[in-house]
Amino acid sequence: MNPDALQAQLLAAFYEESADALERLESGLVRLDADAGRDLIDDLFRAIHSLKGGAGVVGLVELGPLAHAIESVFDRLRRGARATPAMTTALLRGVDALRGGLAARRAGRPDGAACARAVTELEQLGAAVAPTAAPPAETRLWAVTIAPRPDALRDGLDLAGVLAQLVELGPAMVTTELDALPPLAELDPARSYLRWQVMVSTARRREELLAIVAWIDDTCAVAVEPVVAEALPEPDAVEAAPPAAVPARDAGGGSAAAAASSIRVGIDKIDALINMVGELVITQSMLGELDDDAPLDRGRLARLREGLGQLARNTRALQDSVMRLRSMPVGTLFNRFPRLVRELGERLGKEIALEISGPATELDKAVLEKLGDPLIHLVRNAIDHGIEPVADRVAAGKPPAGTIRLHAEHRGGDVIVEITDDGRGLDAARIVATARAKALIAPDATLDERAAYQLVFLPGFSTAREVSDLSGRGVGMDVVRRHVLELGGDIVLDSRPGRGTRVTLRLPLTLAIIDGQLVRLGDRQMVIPLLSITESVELDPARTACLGGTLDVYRLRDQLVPMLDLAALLELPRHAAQRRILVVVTVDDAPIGLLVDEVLAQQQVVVKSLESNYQRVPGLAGATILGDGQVAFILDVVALAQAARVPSLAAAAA
Amino acid sequence: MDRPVAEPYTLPATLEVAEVAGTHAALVARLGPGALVIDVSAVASIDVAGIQLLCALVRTASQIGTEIVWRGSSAALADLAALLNLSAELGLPTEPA
Repeated sequence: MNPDALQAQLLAAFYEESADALERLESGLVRLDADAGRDLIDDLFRAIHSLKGGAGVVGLVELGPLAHAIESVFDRLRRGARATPAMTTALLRGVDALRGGLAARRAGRPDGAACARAVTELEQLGAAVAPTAAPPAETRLWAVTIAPRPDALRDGLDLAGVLAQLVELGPAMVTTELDALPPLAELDPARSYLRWQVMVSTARRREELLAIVAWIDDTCAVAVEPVVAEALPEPDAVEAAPPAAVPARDAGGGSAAAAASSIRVGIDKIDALINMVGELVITQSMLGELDDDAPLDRGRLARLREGLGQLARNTRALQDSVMRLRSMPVGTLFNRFPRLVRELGERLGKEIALEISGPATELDKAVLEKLGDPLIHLVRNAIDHGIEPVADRVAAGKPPAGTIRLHAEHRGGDVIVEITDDGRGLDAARIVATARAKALIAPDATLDERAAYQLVFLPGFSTAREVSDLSGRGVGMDVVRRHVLELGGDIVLDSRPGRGTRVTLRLPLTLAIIDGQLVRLGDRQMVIPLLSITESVELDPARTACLGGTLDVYRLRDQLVPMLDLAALLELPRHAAQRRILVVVTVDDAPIGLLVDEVLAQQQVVVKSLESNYQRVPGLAGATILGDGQVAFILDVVALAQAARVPSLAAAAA
Repeated sequence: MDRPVAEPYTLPATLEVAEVAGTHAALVARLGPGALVIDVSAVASIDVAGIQLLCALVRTASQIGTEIVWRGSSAALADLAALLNLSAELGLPTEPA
């Protein structure tokens, strides 16, 4: 393997490890205020310690001093210093800066500025804890490179002593460059092959650093350079930056995209997969034995049947195993919330406890990634609008601290994620009044409480009496709902005035396989996601009408349902159909009828992306390959309804 | 293909440039397929040449698929490895004391 590829691989592995370590740090830090126990501090120390070591190994030198500064704070805690909220906040910011530094490096433009600032903040914290160690203001990051001559060791070079002096100047990281090291057998043990770089954050002047390295500058090539970390280098200015800020062995940029889409898979899942493939091979060899010219008598036929049955079982099991590869515990997402809740609670002066249950529930990685934003919004909402200020809670006879509960579980073939708060609940009357005022519903519409709650999902709806900087970011519940619908899921809101609110998300286990309803349009087969279908009826021409010359509607019982002619929409050749079927789907709580020629079988279909195989086609969510090899398109019901400008609930009810 | 784990090789008390050649020869002789157990507990003083030798050993071992198992502990080795940020490279136990 060439060194660049190896370095890229090391980097990719380090990015994954560091994400874990950062998460561990973050969730641990959030607990630090309540529980500054030895175990927790040791765990945090280990997390940052291995992160620091790893950063050194892969050459991310700009992160070293910050990792060291964080480690030093934990070290002080280990030696008995008391954790303060200010310390926690500074450490959390340090973790943020590390994450930012990593992201900048992944994006191919390393940036030490935020890290350097965080180092300064942590050092000032150190000064507050131990006033004797107060650092002067002008702290800079220096890069000292030491390249000994080949015979430097024979002259009794005291390199360790010099490095030790440099490291004592401030938060520092030493990188030992091993690339010139030959295989053991070819090594001349008295010859020097190694080079060093020391990144040190210190207020000392350059002359003082030079004085330290003067001891060895007759046997080593030594350079002391400031690391320019003040201005963020523009992407195209990276070339011009001093070499210390952009080490030559930066092979991470090219592999960033590849690393972003990788996934860590537990060994047990791989083992299950290998087992399954083993079974498959056995079945195949059993069937292979039948593949000769002997006549197919009863015995052979029975064995053939048995083999096919096994093959079917194996294939199903294999499918399950492969799907499990893509799944990740929802806890990886939930773990982001303790910090969010802590910080928002602090800012709003509310006391909030976060309870998490079912974090081991597994969910497709793609679903999990897209679930993040909606979930953050819902939790923010609960904190901002749901949980009352302490005084109000006490007045209402509730415990002063509010509780937000995040819960996940498997129910049927779906994953349920619930966000529950014990806050003031929703005010159905006010919601209806707002919806009327904004003409989202008819003035005389009567809705029961549950239906009223769902109104908050309508576009343009917001009941917050004053828009705060938390929830009022222009992202409404309608966007949350749309995200969830796009995932093939469903969102329901339930509330009890004065007792709290519960939002329930129902999500598919995976995006790769859906339950589909096959329908026929002319000589083509199409797939409609089964989840969106409410009913199918035979079209009665007497019940159709055309409103305003543009909107075809169908009178279904006592409701007018807008009708979409799929063949016309998708520009398929029309066949003079004798008998047509109206498949009623629900989009944004409003029924829409899709005209098809025939309703065929229901089956699970594997979704193939049109975008990656062809290009994005409006109205189509993807394609699938049917049992007979035919390609069938999967309809994007939400987009179809929007494309046809079907007025949603509001106008339909008006 | 793993041969039985051989007798541990014990590093000498002094692993410095003047004495390192003997250790180098001994390690070259012992490095082969199967794990190599190295006892570090005797190491009382080590310099850059010493740790350079251990780095070359670890690198070469990983290239030929040999596992290096460290046995015992040496404060001198641990301190120098920590200073040079080589604990991970060498695969020394990184557990904080």
